Amino acid sequence: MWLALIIGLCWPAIASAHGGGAPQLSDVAVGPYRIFVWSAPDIARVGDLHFSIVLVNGAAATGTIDEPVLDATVEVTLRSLEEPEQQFTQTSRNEETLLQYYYESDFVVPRAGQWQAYIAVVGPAGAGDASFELEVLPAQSANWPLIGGGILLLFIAIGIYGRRSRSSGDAPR
Amino acid sequence: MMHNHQTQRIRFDLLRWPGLSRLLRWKHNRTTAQFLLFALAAAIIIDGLLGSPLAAKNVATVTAWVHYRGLVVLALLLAGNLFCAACPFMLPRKLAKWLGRPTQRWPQVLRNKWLALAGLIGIIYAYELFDLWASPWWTAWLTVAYFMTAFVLEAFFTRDSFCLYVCPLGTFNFLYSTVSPLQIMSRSQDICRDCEGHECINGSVTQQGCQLELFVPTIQSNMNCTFCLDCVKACPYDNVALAARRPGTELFRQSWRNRLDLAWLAILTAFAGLGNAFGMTPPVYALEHELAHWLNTESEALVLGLIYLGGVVIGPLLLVYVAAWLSRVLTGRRNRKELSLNRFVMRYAYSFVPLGFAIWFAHYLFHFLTGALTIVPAFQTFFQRTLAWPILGEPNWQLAARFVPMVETIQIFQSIITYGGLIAALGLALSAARQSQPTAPRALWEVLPWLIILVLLAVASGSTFLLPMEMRGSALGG
Repeated sequence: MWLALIIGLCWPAIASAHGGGAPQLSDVAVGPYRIFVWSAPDIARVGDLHFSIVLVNGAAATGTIDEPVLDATVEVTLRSLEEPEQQFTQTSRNEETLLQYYYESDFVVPRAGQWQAYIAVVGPAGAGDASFELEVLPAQSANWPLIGGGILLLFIAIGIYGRRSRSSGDAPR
Repeated sequence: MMHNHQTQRIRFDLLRWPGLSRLLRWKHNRTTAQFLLFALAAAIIIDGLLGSPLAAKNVATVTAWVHYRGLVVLALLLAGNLFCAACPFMLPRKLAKWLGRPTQRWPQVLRNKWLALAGLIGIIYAYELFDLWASPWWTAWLTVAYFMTAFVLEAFFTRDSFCLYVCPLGTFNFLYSTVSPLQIMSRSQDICRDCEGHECINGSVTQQGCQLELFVPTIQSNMNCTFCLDCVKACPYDNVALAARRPGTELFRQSWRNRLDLAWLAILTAFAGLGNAFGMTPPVYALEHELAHWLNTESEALVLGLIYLGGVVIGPLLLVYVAAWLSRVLTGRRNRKELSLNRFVMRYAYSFVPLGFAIWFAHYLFHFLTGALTIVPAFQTFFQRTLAWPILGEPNWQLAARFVPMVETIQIFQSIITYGGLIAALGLALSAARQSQPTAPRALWEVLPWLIILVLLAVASGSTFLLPMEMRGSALGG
């Protein structure tokens, strides 16, 4: 009941079931703005890749936290350095994202290797761009036959133990 | 021997509510709940291993680290140890028991909470080291490892040894169910006194008794009770109640005066609550960086291990033993037995329980409130992408933004919860001191160091909750 009351009292603001991520750019100048970029998952792998981007006012890094810029357009282009024809672009606006101060872009990376993320920003104060490289590893996979075999062996070992317990006729102590 | 604290009149008994009583007494209620959580655990494993690597989009990380933890502490606060009642690890254990036909009792030397305490600290350390909250893959493997450990131990040892002596999650639930408002009690001590079969613990032909060896008329606490209700179903006299009680009565009664394992569990779990929350904030990253530089190492396992060993184990123990020594000095104890520092630690350890619970509750509540509806699109994604069976439709990620309170609002509630826990903790410590000393001034001298530690722990936790935290999505928080 009181949980419902809490939720009622605190009606909507922001969502943040957010995975943090690995910082890729931190306080880097892009035209009239400064940019912060995180990628998730922390270790990029083939499959889903997410960028969280924050823009703040101010061309030079001052070490202070300035007002976030919420009315820009951020375009992220992800390009394979080994196969440059593999290139994907996502455009993000703040009002389209779940989080209050973020611009967010989602990609599905098709292959492992070196990739470059190029970020272009256009806002009322001007435009700018920045880029960084990241290594994408193969998707995680398990050796299923080995795991299955191990589980089967475990079952057999416990079964044999149980059979011996029964035949020895020990009562539970 | 019957304990007279149970002789108080039972005013509120859930098993007297007509509709609810039928449900609680239904023979298959526990198995049904276990199957539901087993299906959820299967989803965690399947999506963790085969689904999206993004934590916020994966059922494994969302359910395990946002919903499970939040709902467990809520259930403990509002009712009791409901998770253990519906524990999904029990189902494969039935198979293990059938296969292994165990005859061995758990080794005498391990019949305590030391192993479970080590496991709990180990999980909290692994959580940070492997970024479990951000890794569906490792979350799935942790779940698999949990199932396997429970399965193997059940095959070799009788009764519920895994629950009682090993399970870290269950031990967390046992400890904090001492602040829960419901408890198993006997309705009439006279009936229990005349009972010859003791079916509540021995079982009957059709119903097993308590596998954790709790004898209903002697139950003093929720500690070790899984709320399985086997005793309710086994009692031929319908003499078992699921009754309301004052939360924490066993803590005020000092129920475990000679259990150093429980005392350490209470203390270290409270500090681990602070460590777990602090581990997600920027200062700990700076500390890691400094320590790595100082030790000239790049091993995160080593650096984080040292931080956790110092912050969650050695530091807290040092603090409480210094407090115990001060209590002894300030009260001028002479008696040899009373000189034992462990006596002081066991006396005041239980005052860390409500504060520890408050710290964990405040932390988990944050994640739960900020991510509650994420579970819907996460399951939509699971069915659509991982299982290629879109029965729940397209993932609606906008839903995740609904009903989410402002961070500042949640922080107010976190502060209220933390300092509420502190008030309960101070009350417990003062009560313990009054039971120990004949006069109020002497009691105050004895309890003073403990009050200071409790206040420091609460202030440190309250301050940590005000820091930007991972998973909080605060701008520039990284």
